[in-house]
Amino acid sequence: MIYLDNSATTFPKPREVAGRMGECMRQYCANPGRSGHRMSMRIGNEIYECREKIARMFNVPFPGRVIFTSNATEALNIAIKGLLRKGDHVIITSMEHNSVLRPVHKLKERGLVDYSVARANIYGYVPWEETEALIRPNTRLIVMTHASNVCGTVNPVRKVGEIAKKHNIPFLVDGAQSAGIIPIDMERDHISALALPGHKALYGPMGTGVLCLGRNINPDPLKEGGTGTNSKEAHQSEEVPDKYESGTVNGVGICGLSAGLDFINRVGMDTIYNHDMHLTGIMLEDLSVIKGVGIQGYLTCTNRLGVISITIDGKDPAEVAAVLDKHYGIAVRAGYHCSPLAHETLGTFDTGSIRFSIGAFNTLNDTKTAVYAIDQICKTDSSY
Amino acid sequence: MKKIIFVFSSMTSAMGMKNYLKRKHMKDSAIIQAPSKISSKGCSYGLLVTEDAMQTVLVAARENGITVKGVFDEDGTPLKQVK
Repeated sequence: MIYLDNSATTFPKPREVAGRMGECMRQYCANPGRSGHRMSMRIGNEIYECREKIARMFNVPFPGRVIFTSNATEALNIAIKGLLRKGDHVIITSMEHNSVLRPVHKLKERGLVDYSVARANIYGYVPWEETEALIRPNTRLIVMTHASNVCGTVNPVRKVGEIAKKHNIPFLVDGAQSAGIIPIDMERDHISALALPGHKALYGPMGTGVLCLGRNINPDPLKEGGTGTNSKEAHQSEEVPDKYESGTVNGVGICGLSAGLDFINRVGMDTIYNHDMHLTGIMLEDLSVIKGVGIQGYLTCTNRLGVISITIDGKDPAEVAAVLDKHYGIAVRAGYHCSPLAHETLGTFDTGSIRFSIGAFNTLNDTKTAVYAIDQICKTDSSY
Repeated sequence: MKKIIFVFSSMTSAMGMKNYLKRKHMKDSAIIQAPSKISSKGCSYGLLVTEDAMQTVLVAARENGITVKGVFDEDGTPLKQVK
């Protein structure tokens, strides 16, 4: 199988990820933060070290402000629902995933908040001026995806961060597609809260996500319950990260995520980025000369990541993806990628698209084979 | 040397301080579950360190945003209450 669905989750994972998880399961898979025995301390230490690695990678003020969640969606929900209050206004962009759109829309449906959408251009790029123009006196949050999960376009996070700081508005960034590939610096980029998936380009397992909080950002938690501390009190602990991590965390998964971070640090984020963009550039060039293929987003490697969405004249994306799977052994994702506003922006709202997403373990042969398959599909009447 | 116990609200805080001391080559520390007589609000974690580490831990906690609930000697006598 040629796996080109890395935007959904990266595959394969680095060897050390499975190794670390297996070691944890076999040797010290106790409950962290609940007991005092050496196994509990060992896994507690592994989890703390993972917080430290994330804090270093994204310049989070303190490791304690790295909160583990089950995925980036949960992290975004904590920040959105925990920061907004009745009567508040929030700005999102037209490139947001449903993990932003739906919680914000839900709050609007309940009559609690109003939201505005900063519109991207036809390449999926949101001009920062667009965001600033939407600010109202009651704007309490700006949310922006760093890189589009549909077309890979990278948004001007640092510039929007400066705007948010100027207006004293918390700035939430969805780093689902960019974290681990391009640098994100919470302090430099004026990011108040950063949501990350552990299982994408951070190369951890599914079931891991992270919310990084800036110094003075303290959203209400989504859940309350046991934290292993202050147990005699009915009041939820205010201590971060415990406040947000009620219940047992995914210790095994976090050990795997920690190994994924080690992989990135060992190989180098620059090396991974250059590898991804090398393959992306060639693939974009090759696809652009196939008759009937339309490419969404930027046509060169400038301001984009290795997420390539295409449409083929007269072909249904789902059907093309099925043919790629069945006849060519190529894994891609077709449809709307949980991002209806992005497809509206890119002009693919009626059909969706076929998405190829490149990861650290893809080869030139993988992308060349995918282009060959698309070329063949365009030339034939292939169907399910 | 006499040992003292720093009480923290979370294991994360205790781990953070232990790792900090390790980086400062002060390896003689251990995380313990705080005895009930010094954790009035229920379960807490403590860091058992030698007495000479007190100022280092207090300063490091302040600089790293870590809340210290209290400092006790080994028999549970309060030495310092810290906000």
